[in-house]
Amino acid sequence: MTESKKTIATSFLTENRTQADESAVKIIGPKLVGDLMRIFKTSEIFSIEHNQTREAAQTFTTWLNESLVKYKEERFTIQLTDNNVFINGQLIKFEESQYSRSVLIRSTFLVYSINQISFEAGIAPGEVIALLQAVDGVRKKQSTSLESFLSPKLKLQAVGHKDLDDFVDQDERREIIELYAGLVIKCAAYFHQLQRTNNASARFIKRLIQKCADKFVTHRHVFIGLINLRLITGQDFVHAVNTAFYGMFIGQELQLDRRDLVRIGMTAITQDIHRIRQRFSEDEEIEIGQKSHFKTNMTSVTMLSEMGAADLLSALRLVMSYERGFPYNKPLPDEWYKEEMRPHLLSRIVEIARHYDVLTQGMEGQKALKSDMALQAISGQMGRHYDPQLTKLFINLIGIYPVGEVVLLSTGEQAVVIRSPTLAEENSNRSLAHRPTVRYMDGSERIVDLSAEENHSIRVVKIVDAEDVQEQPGAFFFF
Amino acid sequence: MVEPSPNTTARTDQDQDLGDVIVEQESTKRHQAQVAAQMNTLLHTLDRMITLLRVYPHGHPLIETFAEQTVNQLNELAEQEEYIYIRLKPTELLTEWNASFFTREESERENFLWYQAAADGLVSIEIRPGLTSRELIDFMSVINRAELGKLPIDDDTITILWDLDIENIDYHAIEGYIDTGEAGVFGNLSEPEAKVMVMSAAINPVGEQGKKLTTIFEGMPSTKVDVFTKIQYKAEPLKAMPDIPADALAEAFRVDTSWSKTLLDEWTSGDNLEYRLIESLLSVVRTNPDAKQSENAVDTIVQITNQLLESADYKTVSLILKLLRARRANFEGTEINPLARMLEYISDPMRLEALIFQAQKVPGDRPAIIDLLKLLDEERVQNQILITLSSPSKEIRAVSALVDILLAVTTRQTELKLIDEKYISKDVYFVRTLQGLRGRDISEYPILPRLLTLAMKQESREVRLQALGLAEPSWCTAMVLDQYVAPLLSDDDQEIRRLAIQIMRDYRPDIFKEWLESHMKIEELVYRSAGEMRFLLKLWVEEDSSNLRALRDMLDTRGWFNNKRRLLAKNAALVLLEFNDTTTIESLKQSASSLWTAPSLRKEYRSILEQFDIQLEPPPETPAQESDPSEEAPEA
Repeated sequence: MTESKKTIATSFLTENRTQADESAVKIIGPKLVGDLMRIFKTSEIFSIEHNQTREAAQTFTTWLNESLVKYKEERFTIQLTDNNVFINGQLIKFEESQYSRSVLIRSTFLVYSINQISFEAGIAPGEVIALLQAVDGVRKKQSTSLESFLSPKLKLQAVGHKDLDDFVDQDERREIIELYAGLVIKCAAYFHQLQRTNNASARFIKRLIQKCADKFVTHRHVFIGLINLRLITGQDFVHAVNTAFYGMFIGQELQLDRRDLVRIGMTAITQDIHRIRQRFSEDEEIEIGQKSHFKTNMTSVTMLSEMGAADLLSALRLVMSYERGFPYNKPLPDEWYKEEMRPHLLSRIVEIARHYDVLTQGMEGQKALKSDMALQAISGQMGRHYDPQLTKLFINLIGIYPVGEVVLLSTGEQAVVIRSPTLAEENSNRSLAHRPTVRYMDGSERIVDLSAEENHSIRVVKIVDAEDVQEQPGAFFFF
Repeated sequence: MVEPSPNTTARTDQDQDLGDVIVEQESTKRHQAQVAAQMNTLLHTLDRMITLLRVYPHGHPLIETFAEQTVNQLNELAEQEEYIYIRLKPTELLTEWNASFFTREESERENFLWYQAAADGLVSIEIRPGLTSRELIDFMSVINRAELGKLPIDDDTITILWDLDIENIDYHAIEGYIDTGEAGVFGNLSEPEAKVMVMSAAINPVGEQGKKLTTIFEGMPSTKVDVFTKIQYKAEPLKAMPDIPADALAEAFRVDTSWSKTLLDEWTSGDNLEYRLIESLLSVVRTNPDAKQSENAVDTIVQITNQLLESADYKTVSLILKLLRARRANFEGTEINPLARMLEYISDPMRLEALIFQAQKVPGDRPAIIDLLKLLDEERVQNQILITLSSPSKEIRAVSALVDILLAVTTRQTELKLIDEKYISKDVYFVRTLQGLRGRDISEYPILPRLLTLAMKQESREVRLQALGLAEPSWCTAMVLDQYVAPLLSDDDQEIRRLAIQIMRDYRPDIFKEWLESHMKIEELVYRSAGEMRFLLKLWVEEDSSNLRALRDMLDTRGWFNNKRRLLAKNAALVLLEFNDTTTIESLKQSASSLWTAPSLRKEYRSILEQFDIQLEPPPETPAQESDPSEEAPEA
């Protein structure tokens, strides 16, 4: 809009750029956010009116007022964006152990559209208590908005988001990890809801999958690495997330557009939701060659259609479920992937992704296979159950040693895989699936691309057993 | 004069600066108030657009026209302001400078249209110049469906806006922070707390949070797998990684990068997912047609098909209708009949009107829409088209599309409808239909010659012109030519005469020759327009080259002083030069230089010769007193 309006739009950060020095950002920022969140937690454990809460508020405001005097500031303004927290216009870089504060304060206020909180000199404990009450009020739906919160020295504001991104010094690593963690939690919550209600919605999962799809071009390897950290195993919600990522990984290689990537991801996540319902009765076991499979599968198809199939996502999972029972009225074939109507590409993609994850996770009490073994098992069925082209693509994309695995190199060192080789045109005559890019774990963090000609003397000997890993790598290793 | 002290000067400057600031602030305020008022008007317009979206089906001309007008207004403001920024609140809308410009109380709707979008976390939107009516309809449809609670269960305003990816509307939303309070397996932790735990564990798996996480899930039973996965799962797992040489591995897993392209093609073409969905739903019906789940499955088929229709995927809708037709044995004799329901639904007059409008507006969709319309009750579609063609009040964007549809749905049994009295009594019907018939082979459709013959009987100049423009042997019979076209050779309207002459020359040369001979008298020719003169003279020479001589005689204007005769001479000269008549060139050169030629005609001849790049001698010296006799002479 006009020049004057632009100034207003950007003033959110620029106006508040005061004298705050490095120490204010490093010390005041994390402490202010941490203490505020602690007061919230205290009020949840006891009550807002409880002495513990009041004492915490008293301590907090005393410290705040002293700090304002010390740093010669009139106010500390906390500003929240989707991924970051600022104090007086400067990014707060939380220490690793403090990062939860960033997530918690954003979760507490952004959900109510509040992205700016100002603490002015002279703030009293009663104002903090009033803030707790206001947040409690909107949580309990007693009031509709936090923007009406009025207090002399404690102000909440919803400021326009335009132009904000230009100011943001983002830590993309945390953003990706937060995205993954958020997805796992939302899936757990969704599956939990499915057990109890008929109207559970995956819309928040879809939002996250959409964000992941946007990040997939640049960070798909990181998502695979996060899976291979195996933080939680054997659980349906994690299996759902993993399958979604593997499926999207293949989809991206096929250059499907971002909407189709989301369709694959969401279909993978919701593939088995009918099984989560309490009234779902476990299928009888079937064998290849039996004829009952189609009928057995119809139970799933019928249940899924009852759960709704009128929107695209429901439709996709219904088709996928239906196609698993192919062919109709004939014995269950060995060569499913090319039977009768030939299952849709989506079904074929998810089938590979699902089985790979089941094998590497070790579901239903089975021992988890190492990635290379799981790929061997899958490749053994290639051309029978699995589409051979897709299977080979998958093996090459994920790599025999996928991102996140700690491997032993022929040089005797341990390294963590950080990239699987790309499927470049020049490699079309041979597979480099066994030659990933690794980061040494000897403290040097040296990165070596094993697919490069000059590194062909080094090879991966094996995936290191968990108990033999010298140093368990964290997610930052994959960036 | 007293010099101002430095203090006074400084004060004056400060006052001036302050004054400038105040003036600027006032000006900004006025501008903002004006913009807010414009935005308020636009939001009222969008309110009304929602009413149309709720009353009329997708693609209906009323919606499309309204959207086009609204987009113009939006773009005007967006261009003026660079963009339009709207901040959404549950009960009001704010400008970029946080001024409320549209509230629930002001809204013409019972419920605040923007409430659900704001509740879904839509914080702001920004409309940029270049917005199209399609984008506006898409956007408003989302807002409308959200407000009506008609979005799919796994979607909300934000997910759908992401899917739509509207180029000229940016949006900002709160994403992923809403705590459903269902962290479930994570014990008593809230969602953000559980998220922090997973994040921390990911960053440092052996840290405190990582250990906590492991503890939570340690004793938890792992999920069971389904029967199909179990078959694969139970396949004998390998005990150890075989030591395969690298080369063998490279060969075993070799990929061809062209596979990706092949698979992408498979995804984007051919393997129609919706078609497969209907197949799977029909299998539910086939398993137990009378059960409740079959009823649900049929409901779903209808809903899916409706959605496809809304999203303009006409090709797939046709495919589904064809599939339902092929599988109708599954539901014949039962109360559930998705095919009948779908046909009834699409054949609703308003929906038909919408489809017909879209066929006109989006040429790329036309073949698919026609294909779909052919699957419906063809008579109903035909009726709808005939009504559209014969109603002057109906807006028509592409008459050729209407005629395409009309011809596609007209059968031998229904063709007489095209010449029904209630339509042919209206000139507009003829004009539009005949316009739409241009470039087609009339003989392919048995009813069209009759329609054209009837058109020739009409008094309307426009109708006759259209019909004459479509002349071809299939309907220009001797009877039609003699009875209807021949009289038009002497019609008062020059364009009609010209077309009639052409048609008679082509289809009744004998009669035409006779007519031409009788009309090539100078006394008659001079009363025709220049173009018609040339046209006839040309035809005359083409009929018989010996007529060139008669044309040459027309050049001799000595003794003739009136304008009409002179005009004939000029046009005869032009025709002769077109035939490259060398005699004429010499004669013209002579006349152009002769004082015996009237000065104005002399000038005309010179200009004609120049037009044909013929070199001339310098013009003769005209005596000062000489005047053009024709200027005074009475008309012959």
